[in-house]
Amino acid sequence: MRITYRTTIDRALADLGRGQERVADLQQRLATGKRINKPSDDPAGITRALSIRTDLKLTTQYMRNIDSGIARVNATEAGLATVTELLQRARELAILGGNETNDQDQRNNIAAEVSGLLDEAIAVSNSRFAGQYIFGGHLSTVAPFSPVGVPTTSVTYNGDSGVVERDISVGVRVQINVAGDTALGTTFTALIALRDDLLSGDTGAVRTADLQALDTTLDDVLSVRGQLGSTANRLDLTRQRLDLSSLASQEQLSALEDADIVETIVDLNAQEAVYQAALATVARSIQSTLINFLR
Amino acid sequence: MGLSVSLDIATRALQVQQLGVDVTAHNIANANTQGYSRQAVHFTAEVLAASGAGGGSTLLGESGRGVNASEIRRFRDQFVDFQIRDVLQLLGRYGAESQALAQAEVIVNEPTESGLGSLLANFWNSWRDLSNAPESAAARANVVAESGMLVTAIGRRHDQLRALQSDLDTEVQTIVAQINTLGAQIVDLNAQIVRMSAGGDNAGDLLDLRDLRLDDLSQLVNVTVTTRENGAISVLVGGRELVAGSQVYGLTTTPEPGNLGYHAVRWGADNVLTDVTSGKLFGLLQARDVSLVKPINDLNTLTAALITQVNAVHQTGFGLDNTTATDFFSGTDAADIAVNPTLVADANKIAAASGASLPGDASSALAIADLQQALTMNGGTGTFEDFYNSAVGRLGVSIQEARSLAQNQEFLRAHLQTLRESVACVNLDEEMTNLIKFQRAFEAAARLISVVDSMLETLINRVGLGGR
Repeated sequence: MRITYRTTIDRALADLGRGQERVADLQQRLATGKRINKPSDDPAGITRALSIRTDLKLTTQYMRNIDSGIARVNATEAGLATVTELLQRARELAILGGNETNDQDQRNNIAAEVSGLLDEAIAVSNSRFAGQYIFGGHLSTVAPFSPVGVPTTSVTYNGDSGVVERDISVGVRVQINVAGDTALGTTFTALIALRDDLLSGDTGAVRTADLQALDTTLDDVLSVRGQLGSTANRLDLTRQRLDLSSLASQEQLSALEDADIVETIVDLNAQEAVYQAALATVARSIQSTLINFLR
Repeated sequence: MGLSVSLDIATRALQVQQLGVDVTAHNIANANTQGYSRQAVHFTAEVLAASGAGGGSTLLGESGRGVNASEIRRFRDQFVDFQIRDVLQLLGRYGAESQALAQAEVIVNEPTESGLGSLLANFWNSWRDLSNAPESAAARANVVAESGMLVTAIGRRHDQLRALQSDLDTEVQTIVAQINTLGAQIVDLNAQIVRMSAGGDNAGDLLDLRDLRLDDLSQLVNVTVTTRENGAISVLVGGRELVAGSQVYGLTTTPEPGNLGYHAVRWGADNVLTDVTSGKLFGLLQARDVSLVKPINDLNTLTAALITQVNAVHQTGFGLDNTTATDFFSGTDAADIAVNPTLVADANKIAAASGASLPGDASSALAIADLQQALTMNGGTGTFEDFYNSAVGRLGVSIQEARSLAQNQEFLRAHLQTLRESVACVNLDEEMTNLIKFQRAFEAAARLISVVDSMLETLINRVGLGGR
């Protein structure tokens, strides 16, 4: 074919342009560390990458939900642990106060301590976590238990039986609260009865019915604490699973989106070498025409 | 045959060789001129007109009468010209389309943290955060903030895609104006070429210019070219004459109310739609009316479904102040989606609870978060994310497609350009050689004159002196 000066130049320009484009492309990959920088880089890949990204965000959110759930379960557990201690102390006092050797003065003193336990139990039952009353069901903005009368003759429940749940993975929800009136209602009744029987000197009732009521309540509270413990376990296990799957997703995403740095650097060096060779060739081929050889 | 004839031959040889030098000079001067085709003098040996008296008056009959320049020829491969025009049309089309789509790709802005995919996921998560603390003002403010970012991003993307469409529309009008200008230029060139050819002059440079204009025109729109006997050409767009010899029929653009006021291309004379099927003009129309409409429609479909679904759940819920039956989003699609201003003003009205006076209940918030996994799109077979992700994938595919088609045409163009240049382009080595060739011939012809001169001198001064 007849080759002309213009052909050489045009071809050289086109080749150099393409070379530059390839080098720029690889440089962008290196600069961003990403293989996919825009949808057209890999349309099939980006669809998957986007859905993995969403999954990752969702998993992170589920872990956040679980963390918030565990914290609240722990706070509930801590409250009930205090109540357990109070009940155990009340039980000791019931045994002490049921003893016929006490006189009424001593029983009055014991009754005063029981009354203190009652106040503390009410305070614990009205405890809050992150601004929410934890024993009030869905009515989380008002104190769930209010004492009636001075001294307290009964305790009113202001909450409801609403279930508070956490979303812990797709389609899975876990109840993380206990409605206050089931777990704590009997505690107050038992303490009030004990106090009143001590004050009235009904040691028989203190020894039998009151002690019985305290034991039943204690069992109830312990069984609720057991449920909370298993909920906490379940949340913990799910969190571990999510941790693993989030790690796996991150690896998948990285394999899909990230540039292989070593490979990219090698490619870049190769392309740059090719580009420089092209530059040198062009420089040489443009120089020589017949004019250089005529006098 | 006398010596005067020899002088005559030598003189013409001088003139013709000098013409050769002139043409070579013209070639060298235009070595870098766009669209220039090299020229060459066509030499012919001058023969005697057959007189029938051959051999009568001389020993061997008459010799030839020297050289003459019969024409100045232009080197050009018409067939390659036809092919290149076809390729230029396709290149213009796919080039314009892939350029427009590449801009759309920038607008779509994926995969990034500020892309719609991420913002949508953040939006759902803000409802889950709210469900963890439905009484909390901070969680409510977070829902307002995340939804605000989502609707702003949707709106901005919609506006940017629309702006891109109207940029393309402006470009359509510019291109049509360019086509008309080129048509008028070709008509002018036609007239000059016809005049010069009729006068026997060399119209090569004008032909080059006209071919260049045809190349330019081919990039813009589908054209076919027919040559007339007098050297003029007709140019047809979609089977109808844009240029007919000395007459140009211009195109015009009219806003179409049925297509958002974007402009259609019509014939100026009778307002009939122009049959545009290729070239940059077609690429622009295609991008404006098809390629970009798809992502805009996808965005609208997604947004409309988002508004309907979220509002339907939100309507059933109750706010902290027991407000109920409120919409979460206002608007109907990507053009006007916004967070209900009542909720922005008072985040306590966001309905997280399923009943009145249940501040700790988050069932409604959870039900909204559940929409993330609900099969609401594609006729109940996909989630919002599925729909969005595959829309992004589709956009990527269409960009790849347009780009590779444009690249293929670019390779073809480069190849054909090489072919064209191998015929038409100036090769300086050749020209230098020719220059020397003409120089030598010129020198020889000059020597011929001096030889004939000395022969004449011999005749005039030496003959007839014998016996003096």
